[in-house]
Amino acid sequence: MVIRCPPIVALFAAVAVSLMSGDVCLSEPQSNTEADVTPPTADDIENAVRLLSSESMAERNKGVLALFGYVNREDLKDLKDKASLFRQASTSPDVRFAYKLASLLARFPRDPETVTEAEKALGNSTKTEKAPQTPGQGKASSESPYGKEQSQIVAAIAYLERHSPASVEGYLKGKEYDSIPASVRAFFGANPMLMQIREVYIGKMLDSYLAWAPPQGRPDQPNPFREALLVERGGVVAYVAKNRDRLSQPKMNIGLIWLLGEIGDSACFEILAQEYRLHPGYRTAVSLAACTGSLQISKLLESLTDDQLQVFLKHILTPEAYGQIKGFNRNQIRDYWIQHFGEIRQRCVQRSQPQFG
Amino acid sequence: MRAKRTWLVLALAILAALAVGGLVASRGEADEQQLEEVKDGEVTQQGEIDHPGEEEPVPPESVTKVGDNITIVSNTMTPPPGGWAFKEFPSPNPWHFVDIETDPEAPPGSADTDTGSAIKISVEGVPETAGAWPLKGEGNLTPPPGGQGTAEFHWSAKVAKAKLTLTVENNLTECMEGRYCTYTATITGSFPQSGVIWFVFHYTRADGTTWQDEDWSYDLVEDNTAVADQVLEDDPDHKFTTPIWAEATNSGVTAVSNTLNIDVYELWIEYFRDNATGKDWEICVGDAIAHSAIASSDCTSWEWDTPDGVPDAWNPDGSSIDEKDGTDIQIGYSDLASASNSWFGEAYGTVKVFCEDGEGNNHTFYSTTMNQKAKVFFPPAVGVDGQAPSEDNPPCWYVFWRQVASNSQRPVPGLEDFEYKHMASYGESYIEKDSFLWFDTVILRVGIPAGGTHYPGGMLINGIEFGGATGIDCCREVVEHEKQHNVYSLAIQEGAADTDPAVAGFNWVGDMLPDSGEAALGCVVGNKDTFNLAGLKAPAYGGYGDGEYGVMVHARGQTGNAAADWSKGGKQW
Repeated sequence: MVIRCPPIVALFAAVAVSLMSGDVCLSEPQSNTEADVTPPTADDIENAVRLLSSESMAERNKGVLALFGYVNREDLKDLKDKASLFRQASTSPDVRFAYKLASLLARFPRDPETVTEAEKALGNSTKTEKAPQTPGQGKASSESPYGKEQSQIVAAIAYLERHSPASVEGYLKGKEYDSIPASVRAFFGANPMLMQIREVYIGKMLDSYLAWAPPQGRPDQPNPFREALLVERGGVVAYVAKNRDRLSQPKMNIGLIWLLGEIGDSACFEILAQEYRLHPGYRTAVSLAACTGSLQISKLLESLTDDQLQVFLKHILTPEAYGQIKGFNRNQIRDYWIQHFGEIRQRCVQRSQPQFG
Repeated sequence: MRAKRTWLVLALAILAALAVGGLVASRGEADEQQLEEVKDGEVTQQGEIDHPGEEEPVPPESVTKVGDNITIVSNTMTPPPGGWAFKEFPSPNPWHFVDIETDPEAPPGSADTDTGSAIKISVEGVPETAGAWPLKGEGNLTPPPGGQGTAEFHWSAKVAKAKLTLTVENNLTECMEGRYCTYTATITGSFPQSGVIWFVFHYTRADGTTWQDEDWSYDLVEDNTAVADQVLEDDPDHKFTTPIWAEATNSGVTAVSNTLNIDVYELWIEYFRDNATGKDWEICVGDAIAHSAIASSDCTSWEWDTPDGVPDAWNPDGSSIDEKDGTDIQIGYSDLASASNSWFGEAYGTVKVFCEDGEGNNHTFYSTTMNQKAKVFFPPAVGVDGQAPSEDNPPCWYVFWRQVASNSQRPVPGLEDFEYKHMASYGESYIEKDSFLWFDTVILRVGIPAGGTHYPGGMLINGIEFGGATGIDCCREVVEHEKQHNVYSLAIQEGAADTDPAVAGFNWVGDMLPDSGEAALGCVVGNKDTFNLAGLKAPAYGGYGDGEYGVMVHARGQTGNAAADWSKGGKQW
């Protein structure tokens, strides 16, 4: 099966792949450029395939990129020896190359031999995976996404996601999020099942984070769940948005306010703005400013009375900066904030990092 | 007639002495091989002159160089009596451009031979090619009123070309002090060779005084060897330039050589410094050192070292260790692994540089001669092996700030009681109750940020500004902070009341600050977090904000011993 897509999509896909490869070369003509619209000859294709087994990783990536271009333009409908190429992907020391090559192979018609090979690789990798780690240790999340051992599983999922989704589901089923290799979590974050697993994980971690209290007599102990949540910051933001009512009623936990400020994502603006309206205070103000995008400044300013605005600004600005804007009207304050957006945001993010000791 | 003939003979003799015996040497600066002009040979009469007396020819009295190609040969003649005077005389062709001038002190046309005083005659200007050239006096002797004789001098002189070339072994332009150098004077061209030729070699000492060495030879070549003087102590350039030239004399003809300017150096350290920052005499283990010596360019076999200690405490190495200058030497981390804090600074910082000059003489220089030692620093943020720190490989700041420095001070007093934990907190402390042994264990730990900045950006609590301390001061604040936690904890364990009630999320009584200490700090018994440290510092302080505030006040402003801080970027950097 060939996925048909308009040329612009193909171009974006190629750029995305090259960005993932980390070796984009803008000056080098790629197969999607105007100068290269003639259909590839058999030699072109053969050369690109030959590049896949080059010693140089840059050459290999060039080969993948060229083949992606041919596929996107529908100049290439299938490839020979897909199983062999799959083996090449799954034994690559560079897991990113494994992902790209297997994703390319998945674009071609289903190859039973490759499916079998990939399913076998998934089965083997399950046996060799480590046991789930204790939540909060955050070790799985900081695992290197590179390595030969992870190429096998990444290549397998990349191929099977399209040609045998059930196999991937079978692999993921019942797994704890932090037992899944970091590269799988990174490359297949949009996999619905993985998203579910991640959501469960973040929910558990967040609950643990919010419930944690330092043991009596042990000062300056950091919350052991914080680092792991920061690694999954995008997932945390999505989770908080989804569970907004539960997490903010009757009052948002101060630990969550700190965490959202440290993440500093404008997707948290609404929930923090609401919290600030209901329960204004220094901490919420700082976290809210850390999560205020430049397009949300006006909205925030409009939501505060003059007095509230002055208190808010006093919380988020340095005494010197606050002195500068004293007497400004709302438009001037907005302009000042936009002009100093980066430094204000950075200061508030920094002030949302807990200090122990 | 006899008087007339005598005067003619005298004039001829003088001019012969001028032309034949007088040296006309050119010591061209731009071209040391420049030809030296020597007036030589007979002087022929071109005109007649009356003169009353006859005198023996005299050799030239002085040779004065006035330009690259012009030399004045001065002489004195006794003028004929009777009121002879010089006057201006045009010099049309074919007369060449040899000028005869009166004594510079006598204005043209005013010299009166009646005075009987000596008149200096100068010959100026020399033809560029050899041959017989007519010479003409620019001045003229005018006969006295009623006297007889011509009014003009006319001579010609044979002009010969000879040159004296001075060279030095290996065409040296510079050398080290104390070096023996051989100079060779070589005469070419028409130079008298009858009898011996006297050579005089002229040298200049470091203090600017001159000396000379004479020797004679039957041939036109002569060598002379001299030892380069020692550079004067405190010479800011650590070198001096000695102009060296030679003279050759024979049969009244003297030739002067070109001048060789030899730069004589003493071995010196130009700089020894951290390459990245350019800080002189400050170097950091693991970082590139820029080094350069002052010496003549013929020196080889360079060696740089820091020899202090037995064995050497520091062993710099790198590709430029055997170069006169470079930026690729550093002290390796292997030295750091065995170092202690007392090694840093100038304790083992003597820098030695060695080289061999072109003659094979050894030169060794120690930086202590220039009252300098390198201050050796350590990189605070990496382990002693240069790798990223970890629990088992603490950062250097932790390793060395707890040790005594060469001044007998610890950079961070109290840090010796702390363990290192590779954590994101500045520190932690608690008292571990042991159910088996009878004593409790006091746990004191510092973490990664304790070597950096305490509370970056500052923190205003209860009107007090906290934060901003860096390096050893940050670490000292952390040490005092954690120790004070234990002071409070011990007091509470030993019975001091701490009655702040439990609140949601912090299900235990107390705020880690004895009730008796709350009022003095402005805290309120019954409120675990009077000053909202849960909002200002970290959410966990909602359970013991008052205890935390108490230790923060206690530790605020505590500093390390700056004189003992040899971390790169630290107080001594």
